Amino acid sequence: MIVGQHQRHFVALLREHRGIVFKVAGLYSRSVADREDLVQEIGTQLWRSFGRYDAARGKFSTWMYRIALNVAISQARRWREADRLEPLEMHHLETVGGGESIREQDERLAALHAFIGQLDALNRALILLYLEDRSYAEMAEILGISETNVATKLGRIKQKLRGQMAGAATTGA
Amino acid sequence: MELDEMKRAWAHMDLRQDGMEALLRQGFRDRRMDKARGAMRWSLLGQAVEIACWVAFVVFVASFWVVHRQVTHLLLVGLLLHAYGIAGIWSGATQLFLLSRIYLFDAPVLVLQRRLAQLRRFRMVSTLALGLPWWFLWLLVPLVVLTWWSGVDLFAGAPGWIWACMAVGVAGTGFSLWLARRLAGRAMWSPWLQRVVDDMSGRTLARVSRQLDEIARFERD
Repeated sequence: MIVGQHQRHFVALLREHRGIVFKVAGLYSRSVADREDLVQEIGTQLWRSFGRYDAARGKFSTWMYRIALNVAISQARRWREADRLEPLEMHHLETVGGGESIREQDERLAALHAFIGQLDALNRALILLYLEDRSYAEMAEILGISETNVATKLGRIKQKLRGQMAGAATTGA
Repeated sequence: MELDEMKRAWAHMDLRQDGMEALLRQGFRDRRMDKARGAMRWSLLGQAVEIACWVAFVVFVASFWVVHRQVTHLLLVGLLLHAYGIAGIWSGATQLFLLSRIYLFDAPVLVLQRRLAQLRRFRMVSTLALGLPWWFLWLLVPLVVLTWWSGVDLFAGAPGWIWACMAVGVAGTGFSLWLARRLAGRAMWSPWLQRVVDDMSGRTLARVSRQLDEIARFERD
């Protein structure tokens, strides 16, 4: 395939699955500037690796999640080590929610992001895949763990969430 | 709220994607994407050139100590430099291997993050192992080169001076490590200096170890 065609093919696939890049970047960055950096970084790495992408070996979205999460987790680590990573809080939602104030959005999203903000980078990846409605098999393939492990971890996360909600209700009451 | 409810909320989230598309288009327009591909190739090529330099160094040092094997101190210095050169080849080859396993970033998340941490740990340890000896090599390398080119044996001429410099090297190595520990945790004006201090004080190693533990825990639990 000549370079122009190759690039057009890549751009078409990227356009089709652009939400993956955007959501991953939104979940691991804390500001609009960070998110933009991360989007570009993920896009660059996707293009760099695209020459070796083999459709026969797996879905494009699976391949894309792997690269996007790997880039985002690595970048988030660098930010953290430079003391730049803050917990995912209200201001972060503005980057995910397209600039609108969180108060204008569903309050469930606020609770969701507050919860995700407490998770480490790997559990954050797991919850993102769950929220994106990926199958256990695909989550396992993306993360590199067994399906049983995926199920166990999601069970724990649900339990933790219930505990927090119960705690919040008690405090609220 | 249950996680399933959160999933519904997430699905309804309004995502603004036009900004992202513009960013990606800009990446192609600026040819940043192609440059990134080129940069990786240069990185791998640079590593290969580094290995070739180490091999040339080992060949030179080997020919030196073979010729001067009758002179004990020159033989010892030659053998030390030979070992140092082999360590350099090993370090370069290992880094090339580790780099080649990660550069596409398309491995499963846990696998790639572990490989990244391993590469980082190896780079840190090998940089220290090959860098600190320069407190001594700054003298030993010129000594060998001078003897090779002019036949002048500095050690035979001024052994006291050479031993004094070696003592300074021992003190310098200790001082470097002490200073790095003193400066650890402080913000540096230069990112490069910050990295050197973090590497020498063991902070980088501690971070990478934590990262590897976290990955192992995630995989196991």
